[in-house]
Amino acid sequence: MKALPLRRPIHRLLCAVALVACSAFPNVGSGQIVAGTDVTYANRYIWRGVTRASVPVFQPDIYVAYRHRNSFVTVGGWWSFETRSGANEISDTGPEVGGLGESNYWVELSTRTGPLDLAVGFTSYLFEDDVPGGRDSSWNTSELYATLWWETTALIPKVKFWYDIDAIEGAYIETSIDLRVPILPVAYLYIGALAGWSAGQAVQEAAPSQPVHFEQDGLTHVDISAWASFRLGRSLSLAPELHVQINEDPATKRTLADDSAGVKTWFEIAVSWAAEFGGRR
Amino acid sequence: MRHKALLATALFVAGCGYNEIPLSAPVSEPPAPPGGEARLLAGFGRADITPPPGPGLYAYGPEGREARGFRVRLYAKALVLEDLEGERIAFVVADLGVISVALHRSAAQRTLESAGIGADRLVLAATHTHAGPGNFMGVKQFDDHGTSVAGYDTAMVAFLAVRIGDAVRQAVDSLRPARVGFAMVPVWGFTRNRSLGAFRNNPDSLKVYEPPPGLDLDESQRAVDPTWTMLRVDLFDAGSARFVPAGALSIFAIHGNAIPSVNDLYDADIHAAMQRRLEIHVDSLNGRTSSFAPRAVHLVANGAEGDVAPIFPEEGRCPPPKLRLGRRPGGPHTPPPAEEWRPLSPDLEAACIDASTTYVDSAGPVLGERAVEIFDSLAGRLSGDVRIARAFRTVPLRGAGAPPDLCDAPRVGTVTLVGSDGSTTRYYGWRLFGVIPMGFEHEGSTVETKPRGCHAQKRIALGSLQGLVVGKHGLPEMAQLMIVRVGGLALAVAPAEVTVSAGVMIERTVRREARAAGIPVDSVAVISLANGDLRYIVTPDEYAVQDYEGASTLYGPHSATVLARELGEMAALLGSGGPAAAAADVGAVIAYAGKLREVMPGRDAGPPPEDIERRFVSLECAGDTAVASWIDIYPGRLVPADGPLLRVERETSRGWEPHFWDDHSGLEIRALEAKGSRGYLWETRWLPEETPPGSYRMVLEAREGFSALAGGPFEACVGEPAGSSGDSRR
Repeated sequence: MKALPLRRPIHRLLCAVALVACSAFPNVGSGQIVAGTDVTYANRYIWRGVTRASVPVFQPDIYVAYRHRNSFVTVGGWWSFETRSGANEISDTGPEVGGLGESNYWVELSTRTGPLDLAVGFTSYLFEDDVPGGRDSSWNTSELYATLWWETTALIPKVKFWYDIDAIEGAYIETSIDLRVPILPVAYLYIGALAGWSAGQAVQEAAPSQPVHFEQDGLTHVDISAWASFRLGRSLSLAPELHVQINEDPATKRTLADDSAGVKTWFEIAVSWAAEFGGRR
Repeated sequence: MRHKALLATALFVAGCGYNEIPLSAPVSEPPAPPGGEARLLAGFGRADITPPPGPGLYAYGPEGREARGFRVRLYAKALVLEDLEGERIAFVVADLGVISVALHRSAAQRTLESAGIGADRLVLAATHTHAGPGNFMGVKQFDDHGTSVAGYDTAMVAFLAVRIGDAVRQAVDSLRPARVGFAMVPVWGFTRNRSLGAFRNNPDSLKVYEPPPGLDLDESQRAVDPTWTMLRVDLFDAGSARFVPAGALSIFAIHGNAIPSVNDLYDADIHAAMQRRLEIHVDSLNGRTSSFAPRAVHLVANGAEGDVAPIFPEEGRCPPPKLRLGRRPGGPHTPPPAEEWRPLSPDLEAACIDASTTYVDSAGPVLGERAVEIFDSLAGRLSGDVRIARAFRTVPLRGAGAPPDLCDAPRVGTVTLVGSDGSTTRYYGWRLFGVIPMGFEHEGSTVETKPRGCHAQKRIALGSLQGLVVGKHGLPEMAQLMIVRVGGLALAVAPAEVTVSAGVMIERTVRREARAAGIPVDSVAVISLANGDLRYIVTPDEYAVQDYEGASTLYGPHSATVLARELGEMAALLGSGGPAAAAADVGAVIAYAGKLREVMPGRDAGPPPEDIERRFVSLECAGDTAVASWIDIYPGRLVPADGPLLRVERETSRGWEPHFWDDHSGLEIRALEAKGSRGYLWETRWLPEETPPGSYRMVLEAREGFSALAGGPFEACVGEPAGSSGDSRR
């Protein structure tokens, strides 16, 4: 794993934002630090509807947050490790390689007011150098993002917005709604419907050589999911997800290096641990 | 198949883990006719049973919070009677949610040693306050799921048993010639039936109570047992050479759940106000002014209250927590947070508690005023020529010797999980996929559509898996039944919450059997929640409706029939009084307790007093509430308290004078935070209702190692209501 490079101005900005955010809450005392980690296993890595790895992946995530009432300032890192792929697979690491394909680092400010959850953040996407047949560091980029949830008794509508400020300079938007379905007195099943929209992250006529995620702007895909999130004891939780995706953009239709499909399915399961340290009970 | 095996194994393991605790079988010494002049003797006792913060508050199930302090202290009050044949009986009413067999036997062991009173002569009843401690049940499921603080604490059992024993010993030590008399007076308008659908299903022959014409009561308020039974006791005063009022034993059917589940303080609920009003009255009759604790003693046991609730205001009930996604930080790839039960905001919880305490502080004294009227009406109807008899029976509910019409194994219905009307849990109203009713409500789907097996209409929670989850010995398996006769009054002592109509069944059977045996019984009253806890007892017709009480009747539809029959048989054994009539079947029993845990801070908690500088830290007004905090010794050392902890003084022309002590319902004491070797931070909140203007100050009472400590003077706070559990304390 390589260290976070500070060569680009945008990465220096990331560190600056993190420092400013942390210094905004100088009294980091008891009960205000939350640390968490999780690992997700997915049978394939789908990102914004695009198959990034058609092989199973393990994706660890770690973060530490400062809590001020209902608000958090969080910094964290996330990594995607691919299992060894075949020659015909889609892979960030390149065919028949496996290992670390992508690293993300982020800083996020989030808050909750009544039923509303709002988060704004900055994230960087980093790839390995010299990856034949995969994604190399020319794909490194950074985005600002914002998410808004509105949690009601039965429905959770969400809007997520990302704007690439580095390599691509375009936006991607997700609108979704989750329906809460009671399956046990102590747990819900969530049925979700999500639509992805590209607004500048597709091929641009004015800059045809610019890295892009999609082939056309507009609706990229529709994702129907079923998921749940169970607590296992005080600090552990388990979140299985099952997805059926209807592909619209040609980039989202790719399922293997030489194959496409209008619909694809995948699942993932995540185990999470989080704890708050030193606080009053 | 493999998954089913794994699930079954997991559930089986969940149901295991009980702790077998043999209980003593203390049988009373034979009555010894007193020498000299034969006469009725009586004595009263009182012991503070307020535990330290830490245990869970019992009776709301897992919704009950961990206790953080107290609002109204808990007491065990004792009345001991001894007739001219030497027949002795002890009545103890404790401000607890229920009485466990483990506690009854432990207390009886102590009263046997100190006063010759064994289990067969000890009526230990609970007021059924829902703000008393748990962790003393000795029944696995009740220990582990009866409150949010799971476990069985032997120290809690010992603490309560010792103090109950102290109250009885005080009563025995103060036995004096006495005159007693009883009355049964209807008191309407303070209670309502919370399970009206089940009550309605009874035959008319069991709906016997009718209010007088002109009372404006709705159907639920008419569907109760309004009978206030009072046994007044006057004691001989050697100084004045006459009998003077001393106290009373009352029985009135009312749930002790006016204080809601979001409360985190010990509180004796509405019974405390009912008791105290008469105690102050009796003290005044004897020329005594009230102080920290009145001298007179008024025991208020519960009657057929299974389906009878106080008429608390709607605002006194908080909605239960809701299952929502948790509030956890993360980033763009962090999985969704786990769901968690999200409680109401502290402000809303405070509003609920305010509404309920306001109700208790207004309705309780009014009920107490009725007690005063009944007490005074008995003044000319007292007698010292009263015979006492009792019969006691230990009844196995499972296995050999169990009544054949009970179900083989106890089961709870789905409705038990959702709570009662007015005290619903977080599971109330749950439906599969949001639309398919699964019995998590109070009517309709709660009834098994195809009744089969002994439990008939009961929709058993978790179905056939319940046996695995509850486990072997997970629920009560024996009952201690008792009948006491005091003159013409028979008291049927039931280890359960008996509904109004089940109470009628019991009273009728006892009266019929006693009279058939030639025993002079004029009146019968049921004392619920005494000597054990079987949860609820309903009539067969109520059982068929499967409301909360029916679902919580553990041994099936014939439970009330069996209970009435057993008590009727025992009534026939009462005889005309005297030792020959005694029937005492105190068998050896075993408690199957839950997890053994130390939940109650000990007397050695924290640093010793000499290492702590007791001092006030702050005093401020939060709206209309005065809030003071101070550093003191740890919970376990400061509470349990033998005497007052804190008093509020008012400045008068004679200087600073006590205004009231910390047993005043307007004052709360709460343990806030450990400060390590510096001590423990405590807080008191005083809502000075109807307080005369002037200067006040708080004074920490002197105690071992500390002299009294006065805080600074302050004016009574004036402002918007701050709530009794505001955000600042959490």
